[in-house]
Amino acid sequence: MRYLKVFMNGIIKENPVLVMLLGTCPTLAVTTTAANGLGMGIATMFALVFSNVVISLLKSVIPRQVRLPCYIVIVAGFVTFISFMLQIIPWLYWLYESLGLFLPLIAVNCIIFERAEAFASKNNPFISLIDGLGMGTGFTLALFIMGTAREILGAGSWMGYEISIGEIPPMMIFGLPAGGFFMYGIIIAAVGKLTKKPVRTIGCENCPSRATCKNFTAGEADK
Amino acid sequence: MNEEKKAVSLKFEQFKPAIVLSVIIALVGFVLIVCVGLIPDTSGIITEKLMVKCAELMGEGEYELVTDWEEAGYKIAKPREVEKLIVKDDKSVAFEIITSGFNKDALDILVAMNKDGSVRGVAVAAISESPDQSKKVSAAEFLDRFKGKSGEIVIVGRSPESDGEVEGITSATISSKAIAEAVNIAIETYAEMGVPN
Repeated sequence: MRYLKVFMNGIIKENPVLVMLLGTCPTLAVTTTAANGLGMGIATMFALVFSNVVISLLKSVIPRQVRLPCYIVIVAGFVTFISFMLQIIPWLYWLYESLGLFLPLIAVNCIIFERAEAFASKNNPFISLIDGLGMGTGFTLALFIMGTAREILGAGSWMGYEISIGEIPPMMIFGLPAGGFFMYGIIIAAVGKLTKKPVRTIGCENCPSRATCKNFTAGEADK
Repeated sequence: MNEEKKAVSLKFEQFKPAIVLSVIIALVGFVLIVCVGLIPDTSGIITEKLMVKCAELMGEGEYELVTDWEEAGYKIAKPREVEKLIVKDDKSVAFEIITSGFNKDALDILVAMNKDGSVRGVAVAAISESPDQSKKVSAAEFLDRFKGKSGEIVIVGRSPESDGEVEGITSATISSKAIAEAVNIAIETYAEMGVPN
């Protein structure tokens, strides 16, 4: 049960992209098509799972002062291996070309470091593996959903197949960065609504705009 | 006595982070080298960069990478010096050859061949010599000197007097020689492999 909870944690409650808002750079950059999003997600998941296990195994060896350099080296090693494999496997080569610069950049993906720092360095290897799988699946799903939405709306296709929604022509803007932000916001809002994330109430005391707020200066809101 | 011991252990504690980090870097590097070395590249993929150079030398067309030479009808198996053999749809061939200049395995050279066994063109696909030398030997002005050559090529420091001589680039002699070495390998391999018609 504990394992299932850790796994589901990464997909819904602490989804790295949609709830924790980590790894925004690859999320916005590569999700122009559903297939790219899926590929990026799986490549990242691979690096995440293996680095989680290795870091968890080495947690008692790595001194605190140099833990980040150690994590970077380990993650970069796995990412180098992935990009090497993508180059020599014929049916994956398209992914190597379409991800381009963002493939080596997985090495500095903050999702991987967050999990290494917050989870793998404190837990045993097996549960770290489950955590990596859960987080990776959450990341992949988020990227896939975003890629799907952007590809259908922006290019009028899905996974390379032509798809049209009624008479609406493809809207180019969804393939561009601005449309990416737009879609990202919509999906975050939708997921927040669906998972019933409680609305954060900060009260007038902590409100950042209280200095200019009429209600507060009038002294009505404090009571 | 006791104090001395304490001083030594303190010293080790100070160096421990650096040592652990170095060991991890060395280990990761070693594992990667082993992995990359053990997995052979039999994919038959021509990278985009190489494709551009092929098109420059032999024109637009369909290119194919030959991984098993004997199966493809050539007389010899792939020699170790040749990295890749690329065949165009009109049966003309080009070799990708990696040679060492000033740095080890620094030059990735593409040599296209004419049907009669002479050099059709030379291109530098990748080079990791120092920038100045890289620029000089990658210039078309120098690479064109190999066009039409056949037989053993020697780099000389003056204007060429015989057919087998090519004038090198002053201040980039080693890199020039590395390119000539690649061209020589290509000419020799082409003569040995017997291109099927």
